[in-house]
Amino acid sequence: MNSQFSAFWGATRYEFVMQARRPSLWITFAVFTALLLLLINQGTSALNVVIPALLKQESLHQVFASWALYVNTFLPICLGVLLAGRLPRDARTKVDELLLAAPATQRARLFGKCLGATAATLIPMLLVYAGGIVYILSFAHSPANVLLAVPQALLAFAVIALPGVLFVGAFSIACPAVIWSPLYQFLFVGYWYWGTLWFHADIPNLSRTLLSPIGLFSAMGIYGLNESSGGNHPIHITGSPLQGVASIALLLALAVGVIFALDGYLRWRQVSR
Amino acid sequence: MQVVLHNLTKTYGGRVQALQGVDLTIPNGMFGLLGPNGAGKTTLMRILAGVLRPTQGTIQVGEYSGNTERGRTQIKRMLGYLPQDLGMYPDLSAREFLDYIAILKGLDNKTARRQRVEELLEMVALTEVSKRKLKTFSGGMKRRVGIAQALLNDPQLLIVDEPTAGLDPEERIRFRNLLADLGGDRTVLLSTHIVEDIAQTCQQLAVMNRGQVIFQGAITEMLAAARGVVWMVTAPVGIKPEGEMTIIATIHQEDTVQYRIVAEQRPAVAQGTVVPADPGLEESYVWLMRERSASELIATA
Repeated sequence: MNSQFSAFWGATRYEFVMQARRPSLWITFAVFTALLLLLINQGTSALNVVIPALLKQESLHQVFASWALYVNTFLPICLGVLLAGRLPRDARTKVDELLLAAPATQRARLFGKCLGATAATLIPMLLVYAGGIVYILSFAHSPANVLLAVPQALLAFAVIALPGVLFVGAFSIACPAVIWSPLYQFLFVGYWYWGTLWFHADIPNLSRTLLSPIGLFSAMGIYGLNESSGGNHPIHITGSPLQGVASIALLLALAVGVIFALDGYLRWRQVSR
Repeated sequence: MQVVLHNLTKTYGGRVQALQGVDLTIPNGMFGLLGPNGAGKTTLMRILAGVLRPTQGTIQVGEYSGNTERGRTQIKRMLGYLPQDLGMYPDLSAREFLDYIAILKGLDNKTARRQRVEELLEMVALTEVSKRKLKTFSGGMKRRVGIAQALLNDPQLLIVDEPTAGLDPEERIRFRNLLADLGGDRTVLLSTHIVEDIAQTCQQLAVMNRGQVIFQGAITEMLAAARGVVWMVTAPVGIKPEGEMTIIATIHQEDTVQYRIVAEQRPAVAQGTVVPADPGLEESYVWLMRERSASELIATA
């Protein structure tokens, strides 16, 4: 196996292990999800009201898509915050000197770090999503289709949530190279709140463009969700399947591009130090 | 393998000159790099390890040039590096950490890599605690993990920066012996400000001060340079030797005090005896630094 590919997989594996072992990862997601459920699970927006209503209007895979969109609207806040410390950690623990003295390229390590740490951070998010899917299936009247529903649910998550998660992951790994990570965390949460949860069309941001990291265009274009899909917060956009695919491609390309840019920046910093 | 540095200069932020035109040839075997804190030793080590880039100058390690990307990668393949501030991931076990570093060092074959990790854990006597997380390790145990990671790729060039700092005397001796064994068939560059570590392990050394190499040669040559300037003074309690000198050691006996002194002129003492003594490496080092300071003063004047 090529040494650089081996280094990439090695970094992916150990970054995954290190991130998954962080107690704060599990605590943050548990607290955030509990708060979220407490806030939304009331009155007409309660899940036991919304889900049966959605199941009457839409197909099962569309309901999965709605849930994936919902999860991806809120939980990336935790993801971005929890990934922000991964790069500065190498300097803080002083491991960076050993890493730089190894023949593996920095680029292979950075891609491995991004993929491994993001994948580990994705686990609690996937668990929340899976919990929702089980809940949705409990309302579905054809239990025989449960096994068929699993791949559908995974596909909905991969199409709607995964590109945005990788996009957020790459930025959250890279940005703390140029700004203090607590500041990045603050700005990230602020931006997410302003751009996603408190959207105002008159203030320019990426949230209603193809670069929307919550997966709006994939949900609209590929799964055919419409304005009513947003429940009490209807989504006032439409998208074609092509736009959905373009949104996925753009998010993934930007995630890769950000890591390339980070590698270039760190090289420049090493030379000019 | 020989390491040749020519006119190596490193300036931080365009102002702080850490290295000033260093010319140094490091032969095969143990080679000591001695100097006070801030002499530029760590900067030199970091440049050799590929962690820092020189502002100017050339680096040749065996057949490879350290001035090109390709050359640096080749050098890193045969390099073992134990930095002064050794960092580790606290959440990994010793075995996991070594496995990760081994992967980054290009040990792609899983079976061979695991075997090498086990060998090294055995060598540094950490097999029994290899599953414990590194955050639970003592300073000495971390140093041992450090030397194990440096040896993963069986390096031809081993760079160790202040390896015994913070170790207890037994650990220090153990570590020195380990390094001396390793120096048999490879180039080991040992940087330290602890003279004793060099005296016990190296035949050749260089002394650095303020970013420059002020001495390079065999230990015997350095000792010879201080012959005639080391004195043993025995004086009654309360009477001190006088003159331009550096007192290296003071030993209180029953009614007298014995001093080891480095001084160009025979020291004066009101009562007692003054006899010339054979210089040790520590005294030679002090003499060298004094001489250097004096010549700098003359040059400034």
